[in-house]
Amino acid sequence: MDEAELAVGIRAGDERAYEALVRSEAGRLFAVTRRILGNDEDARDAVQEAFISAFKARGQFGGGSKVSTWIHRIAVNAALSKLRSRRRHPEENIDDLLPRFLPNGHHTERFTSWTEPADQIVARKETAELVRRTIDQLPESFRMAVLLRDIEGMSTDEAAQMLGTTANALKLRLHRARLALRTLLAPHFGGTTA
Amino acid sequence: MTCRELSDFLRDAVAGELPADVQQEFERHVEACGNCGEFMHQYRVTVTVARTAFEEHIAVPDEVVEAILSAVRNARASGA
Repeated sequence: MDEAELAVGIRAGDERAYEALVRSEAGRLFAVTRRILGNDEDARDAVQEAFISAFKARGQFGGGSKVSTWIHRIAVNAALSKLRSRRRHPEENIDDLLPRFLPNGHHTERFTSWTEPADQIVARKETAELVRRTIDQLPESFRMAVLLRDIEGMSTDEAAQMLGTTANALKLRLHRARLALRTLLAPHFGGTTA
Repeated sequence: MTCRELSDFLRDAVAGELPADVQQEFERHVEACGNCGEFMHQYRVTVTVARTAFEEHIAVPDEVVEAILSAVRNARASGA
């Protein structure tokens, strides 16, 4: 089933189109919702809810984007909604993980060169697992900024809307999250600071 | 531009969103300050490793696919 047929079938509520969509997208959506929710069971529920929501909202699919993009957004929303329904923890401060400066504006630290070239760091087998674990250590609002912008590839405006914040607030949050992530990764990449 | 200001501008610089005059000042600082050059390099690598860390394909078991399809059928049957 090509994209045009799929889009027509989805809008019409055609069972074959939904089956094709579930079979082609469920794995990718499960990966997305698991990144947000952190466990398989909630992730599966969120994917299921996403497909039901998509079916109910089929009349709103205008065809302005690909069907896969549309269902991706719905799945992210389903996962975020589930996340919000969990008991909230007070937001942790990440100031200790941000760079520090002298009164004259210079860094207090000398950054030791990351010993491996970037492409080797990326290619190293353990890097992905280390980075995933490290992102999981970030407080939730910072983790979400990294997930939606850097990993899901959403625009600032779209991610801000999904997270119920402004574009400028999200840009700042993403920047602070990346700075904190750099600090946490530095000891592993040969960049301990003095 | 100080190192602190450069740090504040990093996200916009990496995204190519700095106004031209600020971008020039930014680049002048990076050329002159090895510490900020390394810091910017590490920031860029951090963004790259975050982007690639989750490039995973997950196979969803058939029973999960069937459960989803069944839920959609139920939604259809209930007239949703």
